[in-house]
Amino acid sequence: MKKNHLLLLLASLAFFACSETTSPEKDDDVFEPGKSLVFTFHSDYTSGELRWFSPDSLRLSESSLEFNQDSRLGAIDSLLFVLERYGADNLVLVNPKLLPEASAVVYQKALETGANPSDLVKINSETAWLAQENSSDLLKINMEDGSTNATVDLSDFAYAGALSPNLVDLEISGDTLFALIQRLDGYDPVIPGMILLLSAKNGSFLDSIPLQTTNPSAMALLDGNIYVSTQGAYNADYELEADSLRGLEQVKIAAKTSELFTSGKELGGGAQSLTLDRKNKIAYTSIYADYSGNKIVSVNLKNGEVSNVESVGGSSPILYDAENETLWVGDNASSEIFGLRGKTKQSVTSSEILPPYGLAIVNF
Amino acid sequence: MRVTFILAALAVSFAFASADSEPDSVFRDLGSSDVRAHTLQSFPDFSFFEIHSEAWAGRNVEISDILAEVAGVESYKQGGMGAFQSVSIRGIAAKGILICIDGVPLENAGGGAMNLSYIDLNQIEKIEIYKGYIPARFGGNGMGGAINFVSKNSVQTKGEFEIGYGNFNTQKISGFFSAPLTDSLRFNTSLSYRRSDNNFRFFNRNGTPYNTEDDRWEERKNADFSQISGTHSLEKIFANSILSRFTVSHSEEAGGNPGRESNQTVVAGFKRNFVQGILFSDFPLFRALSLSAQVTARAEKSSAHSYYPLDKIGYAHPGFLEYGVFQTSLYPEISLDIHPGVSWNANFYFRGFLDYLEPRDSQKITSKLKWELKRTSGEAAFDFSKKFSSYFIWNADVSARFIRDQFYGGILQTPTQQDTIPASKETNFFPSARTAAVTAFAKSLQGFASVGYYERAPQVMERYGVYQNVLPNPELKAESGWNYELGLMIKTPSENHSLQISLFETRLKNGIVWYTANSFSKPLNLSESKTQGVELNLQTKPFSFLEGGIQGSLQNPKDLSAGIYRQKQLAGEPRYSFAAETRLFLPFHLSFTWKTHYRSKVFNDRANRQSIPAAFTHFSSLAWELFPKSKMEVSVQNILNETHQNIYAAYPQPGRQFFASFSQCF
Repeated sequence: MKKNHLLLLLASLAFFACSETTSPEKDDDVFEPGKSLVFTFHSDYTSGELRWFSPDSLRLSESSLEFNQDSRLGAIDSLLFVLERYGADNLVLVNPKLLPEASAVVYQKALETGANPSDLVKINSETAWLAQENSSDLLKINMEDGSTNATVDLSDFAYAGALSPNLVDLEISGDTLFALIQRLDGYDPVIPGMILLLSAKNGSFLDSIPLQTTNPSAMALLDGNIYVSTQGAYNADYELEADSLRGLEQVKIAAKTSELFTSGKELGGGAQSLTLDRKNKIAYTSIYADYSGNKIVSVNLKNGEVSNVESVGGSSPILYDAENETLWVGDNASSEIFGLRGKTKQSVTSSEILPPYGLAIVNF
Repeated sequence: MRVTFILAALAVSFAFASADSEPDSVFRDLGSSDVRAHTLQSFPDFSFFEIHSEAWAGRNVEISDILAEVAGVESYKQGGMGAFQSVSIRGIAAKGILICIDGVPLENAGGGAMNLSYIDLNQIEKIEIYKGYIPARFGGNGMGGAINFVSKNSVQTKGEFEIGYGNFNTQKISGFFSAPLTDSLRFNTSLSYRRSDNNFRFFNRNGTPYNTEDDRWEERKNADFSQISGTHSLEKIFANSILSRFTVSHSEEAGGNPGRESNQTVVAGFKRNFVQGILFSDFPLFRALSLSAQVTARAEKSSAHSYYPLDKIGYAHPGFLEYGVFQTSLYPEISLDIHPGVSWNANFYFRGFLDYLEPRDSQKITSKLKWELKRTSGEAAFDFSKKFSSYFIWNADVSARFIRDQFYGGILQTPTQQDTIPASKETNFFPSARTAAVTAFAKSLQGFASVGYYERAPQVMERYGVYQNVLPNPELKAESGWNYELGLMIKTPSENHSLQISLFETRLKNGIVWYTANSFSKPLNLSESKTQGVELNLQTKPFSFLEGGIQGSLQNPKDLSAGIYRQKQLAGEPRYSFAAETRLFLPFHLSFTWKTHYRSKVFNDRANRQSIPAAFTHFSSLAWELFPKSKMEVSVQNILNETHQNIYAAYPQPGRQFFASFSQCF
């Protein structure tokens, strides 16, 4: 009898032990050579998390990595950088090949408190330039360990009395580093923004190109031009009016001039995010008019034609995937992630997620 | 449905008014403070709880820690002495809890949860906690409950003096004195000073949860706090038993604003000056009728300062920045107390609230920015209690509040934001009601039931977007909610042991949350929640030398809002919590106290991504009454040094604190 009890006990233990270990595994997309992964950052302005999906499966990962609620993503080669912004001010390197484990975080480097990192561009296989929106320091970093190799002081370009020129975007072409600065007076865009031309090697000042409108947010290079999305100033109701004080500017690099290529009048408000379909010479930009929502428009860079693409919530990220010829969109209002390929809309399936806040693509 | 409920409560209460006398009640008299102490019969409400000054006298404990020992109350604080602290009750967040001193709401028309650290417990005789309802006699704008701090006031000639010292250079000194000046004139005065450097050591994770190599122990900087406060009153009894009392309370505090774990400040700090005068008179008109009149006048100036770039806040304004608010308030009140016998009593209250706010700063950068806010509100309230028999009492509280907001426009400046306030004017109406009944099945067994409906008017900051990147929403509706409770109390014939069990449910609709899109936030009525739970309160005194108790709460605080937060655990609310206390009376006039508080895992955020693990905190003290009316006490707070915070919202806590005190009564 006692022996039967013992066997029953052992059997029960074995049953529960097995039950404990056989938890369902998450069926997340993982790294595959020759493929790409689309990374999405999600935030409800309190918590932030990184997820991903394959353009083939269109299935958002159930796994996630937690980061500061305000973070931007940047892909360089097969690496993914997470710029944890104001309140955290960290530079993070994620190795996508090790996802979904937490060990995929190669390093998390603390930057200057309040620096608010905004963008990262590659110089070579080892180093990159790091823009900091609330600091006058432009950093040259070692991508392998996140250490700072050099610092370039841009305080001369700040608005009078301000401590930072508000550097929000970087682009590199050849030996030239282009730095987009807002030059705010506190929070107010009182003077037009500017593009600084710096040496890509050591950050020394080469030249500058003033913009026509204020409060630029993003830029992209194409065919010897730089396209810059500008928001202009908000009115008392936090609206961006559809007028000529904002829009999409075209900067001719060689001529060092800038003009309003498409104004807010045609766009319907201020231009925020910017991404390019370089092959078809189309710019996609998110337009903000008022709190009720954004819309995504396309601007034909050959003839200036503006077309509405999709209505989305505010702060919705957009990113053009040249490899898959797809415009990826994260709708911040509906928490839907989808891709637009021409007129075809492909939805990414997901379980409960925080609203999309950023996008990046890593091609392996 | 709510209008029907309110009208029903009113109608039934009038229908049951009766002048029949009743035999003595079997109900325990819980007592309740009242500036009109001799006019109000107390209703033995299970939702009511008192904490007396023995819980904090001679000890270095914070208000939030004291309150968290009560079942159903959860605390939140951001540091040591003087740091922001607040409480929630049964799942209703701090902004929905009415905080009063001597029955007068501490309501800042500018909005936000009341910072409990402004109140010095050395001035306080007892704390009254009303869980799940706001008594009509308090008025004000709340829905989850009320906490009333009762100032020290005595009708006996007495004095108290206390001095104490603890680690982190914590110092407290206080005195209270009450004496008659003439046969009909009495004087009370209380004055106290407290301070702390708050320079405790804490573990700084540097804001990098994936990188432990840059973690280090640091000393908390710029966290010092000091406060002088006092309450002084003159009470006179005139002919025909007319009572008048004039009370002046004042408080001046200043301190550093140390910042978060990974972002300590150097210069940032705050100052606050507060003065309040209450003139109260009670006029017994007839044997069964008395009229009371009270006027409260208050002035408060709060300011904060910072210096960028030493302080990494307020980056948009380099250099020294000072910004603040000056508020003046006037609260007149008339109340009518009808108490024809012991079978029923009724009270009518008519109150006005006038609040005016304008900026205060000394910097050129902000002196050009002006704004004015004025809020005028009026309230009519009514409460009624009827004792049907020795075994059944019924009570109803009804109130109706109208609020008129007038904004003259302007620009509000703080270190991190600046906003334009549009000019506007509007009036709104907010009703509330609650009914409760207590029945005694036997002398040692009582039952209780209550149902309440409340509306909380949107605060100024919620309606008119007085902060940077915050949009106004004049259409914002009041939050509304229902509170239910069923209770049972058992006590032994000797009354040495008692057990109270309460089942409760708190529902919130149209909860105001900040919905953020495109970096702008707009307050919307989006939140809905339900908290169901059971509370337990066991008090025992098995021997003359031993007494103790345990209070616990088991609840299911659920977010029922649409979208990703649905079915999530409410932020800041644990599922389980308990507080146990044991007091041992030893020979040689020694007494030993041990308290343990436990709360299960909580989440910082609505999405339940940021967790804070379960925590035990322990308190212990040894007191020695070396002479009659003299006492020395040494105590240790947070013995196990429990300080964990989620890295994404980390405000370092002081950990283990020692304190020694000496007090003398005379």
